[in-house]
This record gives sequence, structure tokens and C-alpha cells, in this order.
Amino acid sequence: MEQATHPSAARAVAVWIALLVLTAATWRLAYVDRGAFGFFVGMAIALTKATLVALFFMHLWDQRATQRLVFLVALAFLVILGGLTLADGVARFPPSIERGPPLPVPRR
Amino acid sequence: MGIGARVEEHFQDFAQQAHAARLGMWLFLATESLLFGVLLIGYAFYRSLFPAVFALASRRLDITLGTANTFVLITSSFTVALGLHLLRAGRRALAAAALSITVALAVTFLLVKGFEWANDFREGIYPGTGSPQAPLTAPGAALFYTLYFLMGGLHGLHVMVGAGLLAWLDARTIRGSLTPEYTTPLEVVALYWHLVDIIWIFLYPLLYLVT
Repeated sequence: MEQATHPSAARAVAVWIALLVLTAATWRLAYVDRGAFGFFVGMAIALTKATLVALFFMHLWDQRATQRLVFLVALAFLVILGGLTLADGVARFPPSIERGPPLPVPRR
Repeated sequence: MGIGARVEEHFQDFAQQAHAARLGMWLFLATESLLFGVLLIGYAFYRSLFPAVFALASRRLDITLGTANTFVLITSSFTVALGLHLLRAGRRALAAAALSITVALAVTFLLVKGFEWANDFREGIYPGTGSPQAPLTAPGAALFYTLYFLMGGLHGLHVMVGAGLLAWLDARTIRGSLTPEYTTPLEVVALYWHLVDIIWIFLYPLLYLVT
């Protein structure tokens, strides 16, 4: 039967430092005028951080595939749900949907 | 096996029981992901309709406190992982210390959050349209602030539950009812705690860093 391997504490420290650096990077990025591209960079950093936590702190890297499967299925359903919902928003036009005015957004 | 490590009769052996416990927690975490995921989809939907208002509304939030809390929660995720590692390695006193730090960090997170919300209320930022003195009343601002309080509040509730469970497991570690051979309760609570951390990892840029 499975006995989860016991990875070293050094790995946990390395992941922690990586998470701190990535958090600092997201925070500094918010002060750079970056527009839509910046949003994707911010989300890519968040996804990277979440993946690091899931793989190493939550031991998905070390353990059986069943747990990965459970979590990935939940994420797959979220993608379906979110994709269809957002597609609905994109496909609608006024007056069936209200859109915000284009206001000037000053730099931080 | 230590206290509480009894194999229930419907399991073949200890390893199978531990695996079932872990899988059960993952199933729960899957439903939690859907719960928060639906809120995030709602957020994405309205942000796509009111991009400028969401950016302006986000400016009013305290980016310093939000960032500080991100560091606090990420570090608590690390200390609980370390606590589990130390317990398995037989370093009970150090494991208990790591868990105590985790609980302290969770409480810090909640205190900062409370302080932040008190400031928001003083400025007239509430769920919904806010007070007449609210800094931003454009259409869409109410949606942003409602989601800010709803997602932050639901997440805070999870932090409270996690802090309570971790304090209980800290006491069990000190008492010796968790042993290097029997770490299942700490393992599954640590999984839950890491998910709470992951949720905040997404909430942080979406609430505080909108551009």
C-alpha cells in the first residue's frame, strides 16, 4: 500500500521562498502601467503559486493519482461553468446587458 | 500505533484507512473549489462588464494590508507543512512550535482583516452601495464591494475554522496523541489549510491589484 514519501524540509523552504518572491513580484507589478497584458501576468503568477502549493505543500507530487484526479475533475467543471458563463456575457449587447462607462483610471 | 490510530473494521489496514481519509478531504476540497470558483466566475463576469469601475473601486482598498496578509498566509502554509514534516521525523516539540506559529499567523491574518474592514466602514465602504459618503458610487462599484466583502468574509470564515482545527491539533501534538506513525488528522487539516491559502492567492490580485 501507499506510504507517502517524506520529502525533505529543504524542499518546503525552497517552495516558501519562491512563493514570497512571486508575491512580491505581483505586488510590484500593480504599480507598473500594464493594462490587459498585466492582468494575464498577474493571473499567471497566481496560477504558478497555486500550483506550487498544490504540488509540494499538498503533496500531489508525491502521492497517488486518485487525489490528483478528484481535484482536476473539480477544476475541469469550473472551466466549463466559467467558460459558458463568460461566453454568455460576451455574446450579449445592450440593452439586454448593462456595461460600465469607460472612465479614466489614474496610475497607482 | 499511538492513541487514535485504531484501524476501523471496514478498512483492511492502516494505510488504506489513511488513504481514504486523504481522499475524503480531497473530495471536500473539490466542493470548496466549486464554492469559491462560482464566486470568482461571478467576479470575472462583472469585471468584464465594468472594467474601469472595478479598477477605481480596487484603488480604495488598502494594498499594504492586503499584501501583508498574503505574506502572512503563505508563511502559515509553509509552517504547517514544516510542522507535519517535523512530526513525521519524530521532532514533537519542534512540530508543536511550528503549529503554534501557524495558529498565531492565522490569528494575525484575522486581526489585520478586521482592522482593514473597520477602516473600510469608516470610509463608507460597505457591501452594496455603501453610505452616501462612499468614495465611489458609479454603477458597478456596489458589485465590486459586495464581492470584496462576500469573498473576503467567506474566506475569513474558513481561516477561523482552520485556526480552530490547527489549535486543537497543536494541543494533540503536545499531548502526544499524534505520533510519527499517526499523522492523518494533521495531514488532512493541513490539506484544508493549503486550499485556504490557494484561495487567498487568487483573491489577492483580483481584489487589491486591479489595473
